[in-house]
Formats: sequence, C-alpha cells, structure tokens
Amino acid sequence: MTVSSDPPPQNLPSTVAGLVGAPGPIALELFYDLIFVAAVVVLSDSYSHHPTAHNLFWLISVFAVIWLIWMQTSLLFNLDREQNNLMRALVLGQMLLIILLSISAADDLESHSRLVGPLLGLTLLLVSAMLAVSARGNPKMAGYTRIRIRYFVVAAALIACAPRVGENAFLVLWPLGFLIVLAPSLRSDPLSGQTIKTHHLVERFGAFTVIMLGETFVKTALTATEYDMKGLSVISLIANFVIVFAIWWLYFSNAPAVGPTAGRGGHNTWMLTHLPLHLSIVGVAVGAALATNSFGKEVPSSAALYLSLPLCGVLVSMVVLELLSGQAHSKRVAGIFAAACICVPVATIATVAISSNELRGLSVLLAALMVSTVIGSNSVRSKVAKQAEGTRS
Amino acid sequence: MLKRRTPAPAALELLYDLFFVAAVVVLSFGYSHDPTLENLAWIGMVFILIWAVWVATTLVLNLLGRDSAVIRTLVIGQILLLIAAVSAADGVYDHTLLTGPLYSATLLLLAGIHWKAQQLKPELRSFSIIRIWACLAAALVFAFSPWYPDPGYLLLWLLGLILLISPGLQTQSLKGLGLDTKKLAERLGIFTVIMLGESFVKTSLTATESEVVGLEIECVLGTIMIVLSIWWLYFANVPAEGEVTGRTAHRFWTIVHLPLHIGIAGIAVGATMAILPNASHTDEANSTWTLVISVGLVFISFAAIEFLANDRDSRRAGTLFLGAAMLSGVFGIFSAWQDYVDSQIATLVLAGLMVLVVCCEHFLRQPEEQPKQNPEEQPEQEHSLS
Repeated sequence: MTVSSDPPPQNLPSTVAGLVGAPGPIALELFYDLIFVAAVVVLSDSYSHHPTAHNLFWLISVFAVIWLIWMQTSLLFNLDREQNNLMRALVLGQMLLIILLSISAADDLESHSRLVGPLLGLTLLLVSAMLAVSARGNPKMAGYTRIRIRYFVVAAALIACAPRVGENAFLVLWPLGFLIVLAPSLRSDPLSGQTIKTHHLVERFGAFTVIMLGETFVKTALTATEYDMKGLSVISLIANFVIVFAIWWLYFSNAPAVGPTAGRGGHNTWMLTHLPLHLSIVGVAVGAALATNSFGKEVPSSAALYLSLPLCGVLVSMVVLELLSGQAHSKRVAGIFAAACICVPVATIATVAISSNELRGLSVLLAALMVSTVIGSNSVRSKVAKQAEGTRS
Repeated sequence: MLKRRTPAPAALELLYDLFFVAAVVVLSFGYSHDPTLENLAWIGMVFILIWAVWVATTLVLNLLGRDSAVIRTLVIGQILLLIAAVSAADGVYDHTLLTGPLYSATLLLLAGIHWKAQQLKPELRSFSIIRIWACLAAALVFAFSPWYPDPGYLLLWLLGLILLISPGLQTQSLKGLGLDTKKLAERLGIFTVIMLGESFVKTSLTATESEVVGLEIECVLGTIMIVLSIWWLYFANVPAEGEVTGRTAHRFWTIVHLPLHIGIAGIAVGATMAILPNASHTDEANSTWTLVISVGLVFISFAAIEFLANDRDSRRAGTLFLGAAMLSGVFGIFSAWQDYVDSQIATLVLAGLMVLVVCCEHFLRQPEEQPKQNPEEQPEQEHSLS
C-alpha cells in the first residue's frame, strides 16, 4: 500500500492526537462513547436470550440511567474542554465501572442485580468528582457544577441503596434518582451562565447515534455466527441492514446539520429525544437478530413486535427531532415520518396474518417502507431547497 | 437554508469504520471458540484482507478529498458485501463457496471507487489505473477460489492479496496528489479506538455467558487495564507522529498499524479464552500464549512507530517498548516452564506490565510546548459529522 507524502507545512496537533504526551479530547470522547455503546450491546444481548417483560423493564431502567450519565458527562465535556490527567483518570474509571455494571446487569434481575445499583451510584459519584475537578480548574464552572454535585450525590445514594430496600425498589428509587439528576437542567438558567457549544453537542450525539447503529450490526452478525449460514435468513440479514442504513440516512441528513435551534427548552427536548431514539435502535438490533435467525424455525407471532415496535419508536423520535429543527420543510418531512410510523403496524398485522411464524416477509416489507421514507423525505427537502434557490435568484 | 440533504461524509466514514471493525470482531469469535492453527490461519488471512480493503478505500477517498453520490453508493455497497461475506464466514472449512466471490465483488466496488476518483480528479489517473487493474486481477483470483479444495484456497487468497497490494510496493510518490496526512492519521486513530472499543464488546459479551460470581473477574479487570493502557499509549503520541513523518516513513507508519490491530484483536481473543476457558474449549497454554504474543505485538508496533520519529524522546520510548515486549516474552517462557500459570495471574501480570509502561513512558517524555490556539477556533477544527 502506498502511503506517502511530504511532511506537512506546520506541526499542528490533529483533533484525535491533541497534545503529545496525553490523549486528546476527541480520542477520549470517542472511546467513552464506544464503551457506553458496548455496555448497551451487552445488555441487549442478555435480553435477546431471555426476552421477558420483567427483563425488558430492568434493562430499560439500566439503559436510561447509564444514558443519563453519558449525557451529563458529555455536557461537561462540552462546557469545559480543558482535560487534565485527573479528569482523564476519572473518565477511565467511569468506563471501567460501566463495563462491570453492564456485565452484572446482563445477569438479569434475579441474580446479581444487587451489584448494579451500587455500581451506578459509584459512577454518579465519579461524575460528581469530574464536576468538582472542572470547577477547581475553571472557576467560571463553579455555578454550573455546585448544584449538580449536590443533586448527583443524592441521586447516587438513592440508586445505590435500592437493592438494600427491596428487590423491586429500583422501580421507584431509580426513576426518582433519574429525575434528581435531570432536575438542574430544568431550571430557568440550567447552565448557570455557561454557553453550550451547540456544534460540539450535535457532534457528540451524532457520533453516539452512529456508533449505536454500527453496534446493531455487531449484534446481528454475532447472533448470526451462533448458527450455520444455512440456518439463517440472508434476505432478512440484508433487509435489516437496509433498515439500519435508512435510520442512519434519516438521522444524518438533517439532525446533526440543524441540531437544537429552539432555545433552552429546545435544547433539553432535543437531547432527551435521543433517549427513546437510542433505546429504539437497540430494540431494532434485538428484532433484527431475531429475524435473521428465524429462518425455518417456529417463531411466535408476537416476535414481529420486536422489530416493528422499536421502528415506530425510531420514527416517532425522528418526528420530534424534525419538528424541533423548525425548518421550512420540517412539518412536511415530519408528516412523512408519522405516516411511515402508522404504516409499520399495518405492515406487521398484514405479514403476521399471512404467515404468523415467518419474519422474513416483515423484514423485507419494513425495509421497503424505510427506503420509501428516505426517498420521500429527501424529495421534500430537495423540492423546498430548489424553491428557496428559485426565490433567491 | 440547509443546503445538504444527505448525510455528511464523516458520518459515512465513521459508519464504514464501525462496520469494518465489527466484521473483525465477529470473525474473531469463531477463533475464540475453536482455537486451532487452521482457524488462526483463516482469521489472520481474512483480517488482512479486510484491513487491506479498508486502507485502500481510505487512501483513495483521502486523495480524492471530495464527496460524490456514486462513490457514496459504492462505499455503502462495500459495507453490504462485507456483511454478507462475514455472515458467510463460518470457519476455515465451511462456506468458502460464498466468501471468496463476495470478497471479489468488494474488490470490484473498490475498482469502481478508483475509476470514479480518477474521473473526478484527473491527477489521480496514474495512481488509480494501476490499482484498478490490481483490483480486477485479485477479484478474478478470489472469484475462482471456491473451485480450489479446502483449505488450500488460502494459498490462492494469498496470491490475490499480493496482487491487490502490489501497486503499493512501487515507490510512486504521492506528492502533488493531495494526500491529507492529518486526515489519514485521524482515520487510523479512529479505526484503532474503535478496535479497542470492540475488544470491550467481545470481552464483555463473553463475560455475560456466565454469572459474575462464576467469572474470572480478575481476568476482566486485567483485560480492561490492558486495553485502557493501549489506548493511552497510542493516543499519547502515535497520531501526532503520523503527521510529522516523511514520505517513506509514512507508508511504514500506516503498515505498522496492521500488526498493532492484529495485536488488539489478539488481546480480545486471549481475554475471551482466559475469562471462560470452558466455552473456548481451550487450556491455559493457549490463552497465555495468545495474550503474551498479542501484547508483544502491540509493544513492537509502538516501538516501530517511535523509532520512525527518530528524536531523543522517541528513541527512549521505543527502547522502553522493546524492553516491555521482551519482558512479556520472558513471562510467556517462564509460564511455560512452570507448566503454565493460571490465566488470571497471566492477565494480571500483563496488565501490570502495561500500566508500568504507561507510567514510565509518561515520565520519560519531556513536556512539549503546544502551539497556541484560539479557543474560539476549536469547534471549527472538530467539524465532521454535520
């Protein structure tokens, strides 16, 4: 392979490299995102093997809390771009805890979930420590960090104590902890005078989303390797790839380019809309893995829901993101997404009625629907863009 | 008014990298669960094939430096074919009927990318034409590999690989073609960090096959420490070194990433064997040697990159890495002499060595002055996905 060039004219650090002697912020953020998504894959793999309603609720709860921790850390990275070795060590510690808690949480509720609460509490305490380190290095951050440290410590205590209170105490204490962590962001001045770097925020959410989509393939392909190729549905595999790719296209053709534009409320809604979006992408991965391995097997008709429900979740999230962008074509594009969302259950019912134990047809139909949605939304966007260009000229 | 109605190139690049690394992880599972020499040859060959396509595509897109709907479609097609090829790759003796032709089709798409690139940028004509012929010749070899008996097709694949990389062996200068070295270093950095992230996926997924109490939790912690240390050592210096080396050194710098990435994948495989030896149908000897060789490979790759920079600090760091590689080898021999120590101990010893090297390397280097940058310009530098 020929890779050759003369030395560049100036020795500027790249965005990945940062300072020589310590990894730069981009490398740290990307690694951090990957660890979180790895944790999500581990959790979803556990659910794929034990798909009960109880496990579903448990895993959604764990997912929501670790997602909130990811969001709070990303916000801190956004507001304070200076990272010292102590901060890096705390981030690496957080990653270590996330991996351990995902392994533990994957054991399901009955066994070893008692470790998950304390590990989550400890992770929140590390986030508090990161906030304290940030405030020490950058006094302007003091207002932002002070209130959060207090809230996070309280939330950490609640979440950590849940297993001691009772087996199902997490059902009450975790949502409470979730709201406490979120509470400082809902105040009238959530950033305490700090300015959010919208571009960076959008980048982080975009990177997290694309990594989630990439992991969907890991999950599907790993499930596929559990069986010989003749036991798999290649058609489903390709159709599921098309679905994932269509989600990628729909998201990246607008959401990162526009981002949150509607002020404080818009920022919060934009960020929080990513929670159902990411959760739904995990759901699509679970459904896709099931569909790929369903060829020639007896599958209950309810299995179709594993694929169609998360897809509805993705489309609804896209509708919200589209409406938040407040562009000229937003309402029309959101209308297309909403129509596609309505078509998903119709397609599901139709395919289940024709063949109750065959998911191949459903995968193909949903892939076709997603491709139509991509084409429809793109044509609306290009039409509006052309009209705008015509008006200008 | 928003002008772009399609995803940004960086979003596609990240997805492309993720899919390629995911393919490697998926393939490595086959070896983890059946660690035989035949499977090792198989996984090694497929890894190199995937890596070669990734580097070739990344390089041509780097030289092209612009977006095109046709190229985008060809890249997406490459991802799709790769998925099919990986899904078909059940092992060294199975389903080679599909893998060869699918890889052949991937090479045809690469040839298509080269064709379009030289159309869009005529300066790339001589660079691309020779590679188009190489891709076509290699595609022909891979397409006919199913007719070759198992596992002899690996020899035919080797021939195809040599054909594919042969244009890279000539001393053609890319001066004037517009190679963005910073971008190339960034892509390799992203590929490396994704490899490290995926090794967590692999280790964690293996760990979930058993309950936490039944696990060799020390192995999990040791593996996490090893991976975090590699991440630190790499990003503390390697991407920056990639930007400043000269023409010939740059080629070497890129190729050194192959053993580095193989080493990272090897650590994930070794960790899997150490965490759940029963599921891997393996013994202490296999997991210890897989870990020792992989860690040694990572250290040697780092040392090679350091010696490329050829300044005082880099030479010292390179010597440190070589010393660490030798130490890991000594530990492997000692372990064999003791009839193989427990996997837990092996993982923890190697993790300790890694952490020690990180500490030594950190204090070894003189702090370097960073060029002053306007904080306001920082977000502009980080433009990628939007």
